[in-house]
Amino acid sequence: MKRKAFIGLIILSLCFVVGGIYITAGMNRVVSKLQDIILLQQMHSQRKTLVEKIKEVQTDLLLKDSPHAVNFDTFVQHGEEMAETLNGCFSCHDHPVNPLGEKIGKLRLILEAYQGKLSRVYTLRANSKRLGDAKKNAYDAGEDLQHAIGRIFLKADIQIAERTAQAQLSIAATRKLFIVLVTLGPFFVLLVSAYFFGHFTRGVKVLATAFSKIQEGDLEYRIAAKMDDEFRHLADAFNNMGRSLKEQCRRVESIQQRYRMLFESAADSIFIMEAEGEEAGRIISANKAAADAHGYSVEELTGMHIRDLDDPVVATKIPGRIRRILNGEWIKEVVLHRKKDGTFFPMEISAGLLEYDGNRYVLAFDRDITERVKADEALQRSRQLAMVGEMAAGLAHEIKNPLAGIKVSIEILAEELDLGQEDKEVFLRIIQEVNRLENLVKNLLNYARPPKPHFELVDLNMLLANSVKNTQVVLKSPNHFADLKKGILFLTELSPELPPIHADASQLQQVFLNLLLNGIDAIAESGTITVHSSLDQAGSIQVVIKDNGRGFDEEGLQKAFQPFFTTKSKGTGLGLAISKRLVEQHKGHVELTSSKGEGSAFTITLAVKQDNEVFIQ
Amino acid sequence: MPLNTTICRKDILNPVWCLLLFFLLVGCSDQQEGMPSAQNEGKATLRIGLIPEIDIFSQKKRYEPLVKYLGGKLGVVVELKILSRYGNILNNFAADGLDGAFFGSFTGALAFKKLGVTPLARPEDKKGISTYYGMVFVRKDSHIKSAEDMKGKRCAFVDKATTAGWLLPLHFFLELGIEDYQHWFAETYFTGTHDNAIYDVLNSKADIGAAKNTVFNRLAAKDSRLREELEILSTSMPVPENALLVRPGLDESLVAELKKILLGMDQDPEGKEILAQFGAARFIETMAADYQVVLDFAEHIGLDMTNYNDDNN
Repeated sequence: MKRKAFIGLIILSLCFVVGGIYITAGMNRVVSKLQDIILLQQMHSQRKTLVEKIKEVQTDLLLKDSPHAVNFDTFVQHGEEMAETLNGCFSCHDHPVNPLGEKIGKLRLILEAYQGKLSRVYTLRANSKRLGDAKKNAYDAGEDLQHAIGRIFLKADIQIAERTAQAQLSIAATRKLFIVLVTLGPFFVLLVSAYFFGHFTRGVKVLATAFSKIQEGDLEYRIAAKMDDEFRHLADAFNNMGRSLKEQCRRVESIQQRYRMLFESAADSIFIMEAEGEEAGRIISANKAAADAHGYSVEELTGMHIRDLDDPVVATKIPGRIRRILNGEWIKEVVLHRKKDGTFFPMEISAGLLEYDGNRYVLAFDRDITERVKADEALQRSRQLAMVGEMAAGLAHEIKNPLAGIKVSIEILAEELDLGQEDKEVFLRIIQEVNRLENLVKNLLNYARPPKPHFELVDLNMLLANSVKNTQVVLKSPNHFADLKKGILFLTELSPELPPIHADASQLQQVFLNLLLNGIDAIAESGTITVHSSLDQAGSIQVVIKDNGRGFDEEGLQKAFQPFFTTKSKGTGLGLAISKRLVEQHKGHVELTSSKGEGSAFTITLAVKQDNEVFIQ
Repeated sequence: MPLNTTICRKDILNPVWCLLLFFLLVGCSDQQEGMPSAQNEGKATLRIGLIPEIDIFSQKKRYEPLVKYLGGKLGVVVELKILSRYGNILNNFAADGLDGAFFGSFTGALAFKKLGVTPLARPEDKKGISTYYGMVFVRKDSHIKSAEDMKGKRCAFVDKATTAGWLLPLHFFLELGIEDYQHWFAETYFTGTHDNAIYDVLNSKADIGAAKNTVFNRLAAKDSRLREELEILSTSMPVPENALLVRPGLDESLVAELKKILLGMDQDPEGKEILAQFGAARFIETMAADYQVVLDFAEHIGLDMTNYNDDNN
């Protein structure tokens, strides 16, 4: 475009220069022609004047010696004027327009001869004949001069007329040319200007449209029109810019999406709050985790104040926390937050300053630590229980031997002493209590220091079947006399597809026996105890021992596996706790589902194989 | 074809024509404003008379540059008045209000005697000659040598108030024994100018002629026939060349300045150029005594200079 504009400028300049030169040349030509015509006119006029002057001198000559003769000075003056007039013709001698320069030059000689003869007429003093001859000669010379002038200028007139006609033709042609130039010149200039202007504006218009499209957000828009020169470069640059913009926007969108997803899908609550002004603490953005954690929707949270989520005591500290954040501190605290339903839950907050787009905000990451608190509490309780268990085990170990001594001593005394029936019964109750104490100590030791499992391949179905049989045998023992009266039906639903598993058969049998006895205890008069085994899709074996006894209430369900928790009048509260620990030693777990009055179901999940380390043990 | 009919009215009214005519008229107007009459308005005028040494137009033309130069240097307007006759200059000197004149040697001598004019200066050529002499000549083919040969012939004098054109041939004829020339010759007349006398003989309008050598030489330089076809029978003694003499009573300072300018012309480049055109190398001072030779010569041939009648009739 620059090159074309430059060429256009040169063309226009050349047009102006050539036009100017042509017009100037035309003007000069016209002026020259007019000057020629004027000069020719002057020559024509001068010729007439010359002839008149000659006639005047001739008249002076004829009137000489007459009463009307002019005086000598006047004659001389006339003669000089005649000569000056002819000299005026001579002045044009060198002019190119003078067609008769050479011939006019000859007139000078004729004139000088004429002057000489005129002079002779006035200076001669001779007889009348000579005087007459002189006068006649002078007059004839004057006539000859006139004739010569007439001859010369007749031809000159013809040539002047021809030259005048040529000059007029030239003037007319120049005038036509002027008209053409003056009429068509501006059109040509306009045409050239319009071409370049149109070319330029079209390019600008295309670019302006393209920029408008980009401004409207149409990043897909590309200049498809074929453009020339710099506009082509501009169009290419624009298209590249569009592609780059689109790529940048895609990246930004991707990053935005990523951060949006991160924000939205974060497990922790994320809040963005006003940090300054009267609305400091107002939530301007919150993620779904925050909404879920507090029981609100995201829309409800947005616009709330953070103090609405804090418990009243903590809420009073919010301004102080915001000040610390504004001072650059990144704060970490555990506070209680209030849900929409009014309940409180612990949250670990981590908040700092976020500066964005010239504004300052509070960015807070809040984590619901309810489960962690519970786990911590459970762990703490477990540790406490373990410590108690250790103490109990130590105590049991210390009690075990004295109890054995007491038992043996009482048995010896009961056999050797001749005691009445009442005394024997006393001794028997003492022995029973000692046995119960031994059993309690044994269980306590089993819980506190469970024996290490000895894994071997075990047919679990067979083990379950044996456990049911053993339970039925146990029921017949004197200790379970009351249970024997119950109408209990044992049902087994054992999957034949169970593979042998690595397990300690005695420990698992103890677990199954505990759970079966627990079921028997739960049934008041009659009921059904179902033993079910299956292989789930994950390859684990599930054993379910279910009864339709009285079941657990909510508190009992929560504490069923806690040691020393029992709903029985004579229970130690260690049976389910020991069972849980034994299952857990097999890297399995036991779950209890129960409804008050409808029964309970213990589901034991065991792996088919233990890992190497466990197995080696 | 008449010019005014070829330029139609439409063309005359054409703006370009009008513009050019305007400039032409303006140019003419400017030229008129620069005319001498306007420039010379208010200046003193010095009128200088001129004798028709050659034809009156050529003579006036020859002296015009010189008097223009003098007028420019003096700051006055110098007017040239050509006279139809040598003798007229004496008769009309006072009547024409002349302040001075370039007199011939004879008219100078007469004017000195009759008018009491003061001689100022006369030209000197490149050879240092400030005199001329008279010549009597005939055509070579006329074979005129002696008085006898001249008898019945036509004789052309210049003017009775010329040295070369009258006094000298008269003396020559006397020496030849022709005492009554009017009867000796078939016809005598006065051409009035030296050139006419020369050309009358050359063109056989006269058989014998007399003129001054300076005019003869100037004409012969342009026309070789003069030397080829004319024969000079006699020459005279030299007399002073035509000199400028001023009237008595003319402002002495002006006279002194005029003389100074004339004598210093050869030192002035412009004056030098004018002198070259005039055919002289410089002007030299002319004294009254320089004309004594003419007076002596006139007396020798018996002319009464005091009561001399220069009527050519």
